[in-house]
Amino acid sequence: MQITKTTENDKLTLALEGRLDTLTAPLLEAEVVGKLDGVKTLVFDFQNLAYVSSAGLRILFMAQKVMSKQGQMILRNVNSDINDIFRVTGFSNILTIE
Amino acid sequence: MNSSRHAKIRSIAVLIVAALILQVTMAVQYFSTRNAITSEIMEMAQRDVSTINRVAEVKKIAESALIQAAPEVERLFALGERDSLYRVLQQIVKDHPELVGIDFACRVGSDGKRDGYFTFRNEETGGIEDTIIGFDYTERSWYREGLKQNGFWTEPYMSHYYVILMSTYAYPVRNAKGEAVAVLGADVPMHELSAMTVQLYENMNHSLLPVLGLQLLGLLLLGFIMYRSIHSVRKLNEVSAEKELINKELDIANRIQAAMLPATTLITDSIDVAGSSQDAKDHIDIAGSQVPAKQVGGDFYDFFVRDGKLFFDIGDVCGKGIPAALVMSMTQAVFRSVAAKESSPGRILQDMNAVACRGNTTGMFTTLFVGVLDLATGTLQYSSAGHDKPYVISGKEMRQLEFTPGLPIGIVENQAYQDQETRVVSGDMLMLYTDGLTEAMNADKELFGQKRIAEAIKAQDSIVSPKQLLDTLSQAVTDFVCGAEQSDDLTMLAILYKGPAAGLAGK
Repeated sequence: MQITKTTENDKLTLALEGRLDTLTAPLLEAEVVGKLDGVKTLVFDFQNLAYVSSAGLRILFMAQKVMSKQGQMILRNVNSDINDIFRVTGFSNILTIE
Repeated sequence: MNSSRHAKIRSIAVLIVAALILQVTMAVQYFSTRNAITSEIMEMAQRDVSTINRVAEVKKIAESALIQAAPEVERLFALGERDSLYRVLQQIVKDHPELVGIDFACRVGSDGKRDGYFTFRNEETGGIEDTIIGFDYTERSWYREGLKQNGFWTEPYMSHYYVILMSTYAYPVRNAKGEAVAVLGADVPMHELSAMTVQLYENMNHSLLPVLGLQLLGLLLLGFIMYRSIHSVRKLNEVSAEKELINKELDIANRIQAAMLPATTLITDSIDVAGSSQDAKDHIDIAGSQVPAKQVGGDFYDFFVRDGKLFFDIGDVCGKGIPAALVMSMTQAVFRSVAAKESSPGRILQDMNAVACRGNTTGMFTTLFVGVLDLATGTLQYSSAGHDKPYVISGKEMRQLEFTPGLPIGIVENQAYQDQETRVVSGDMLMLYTDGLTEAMNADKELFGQKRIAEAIKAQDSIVSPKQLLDTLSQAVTDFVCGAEQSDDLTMLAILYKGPAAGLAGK
């Protein structure tokens, strides 16, 4: 999985490419956990993301927990497969999907 | 992803820098050596020239001193005025500081009688003194050649008395007939030449110092690089030993986890939890299977019979490894204790969620499906916490259990989970699974998906036992992934409802 970071003032965009699963979730965790100081808007761009496993959901959940306190978190360009995962797991209730 | 690449880049950078430093060292060494040698050669050439000049000068002084004095010496020698002759010699030595002394040696006749006299400068007092030549000068070249030739320089020789290199200019003293009757010898020390030799060595040491320093630096650098590489190799060994240990522990954890899943044979032998359970085998047949991935995962299932009801769950803790295993075992224990008293699947989930949320700082969560099947009536109550929808297979028909999705447990405290209800009839089979089944991936990165579950089941003429169902799906997955490495646990639980048994119906 590739992670592309773009920072614009207090807005951080993480564009993910590939699969967010057990093997790659730690990579995203390293980019997110403890790295969101001063970020008001966190955007995940899923344009080129094929799949999210439960390990990936956990990282999104942790990021959401942090961003709920200090701003907002938005998921963009979520494909239908991943949307299904969010729906079945109930995550669509706690995530902001555009 | 990045850390290993960074390490690689860093080690390559270190190598490149080391190679560059070595190259620079070598280049500096080369140029400094070349410069040192060049300047040395130039200095030596200059020194040679000046030495030659100086020697030529000193030679000229010695020669002219003797040649000028010769007529007077000859006259005084012919007159036999030795004292005056010696005074002349003393004057020459006094006037020429370049000379150490002057020999005056009479030709030795057949009688072998030597008559030699040496006038010299006393180095300590600076005064001029003289002495009789004690040694046999007839063997010396200045004497022999001095008699024969009209002026002769000896090869430089080591003066025993002065312990310095010396050269002597010999000039004959002739009688009226022109015969050489004695020899005058002017001793010229080669002080300067001796001194120059010493200086040359000193200079060489001087210019060698920076070169030696650089070589030492290069050696230190090499030593440092070797130390670092040995260090990293040792570290690597330590790391792989640690890794091995961790793998061993993970293997043990895997086995412990497998042991925590209920043995499905139990249902037929020894279910005596409560009430009618001795007859549970008349109502249900259960098969569970778990194929763990390489790493310890967090999949689990459980079931038991209480009060004529089958309580069962299947779950998946997010992530893998020891953290997932710990959460999984805790969740197993909580399910047992909560479901021992609580009969509503929704409330079971609610209680389990409350425990899972308590102090959850790591963001670990668990998808969970809980079902409660009334063995006598076939009424199935169920609730899902973000878990995949199980299937109900009725002969050739299959449907998914519908529900409003709830969040996985461990995320939001006070989350409500709704009870859903359906009825199963005799011969219906419940098929529960974790995402290791739907998300099994082949080499083309395609997922197995729900479509292939349906296809695999429909390909069978009839499914008569839970074990047959699980074997069928396992085989389908194996064929699909076709050797690709399994990334997630593959966990399935199949429950066949045989229907209300005659003996139980009345209870």
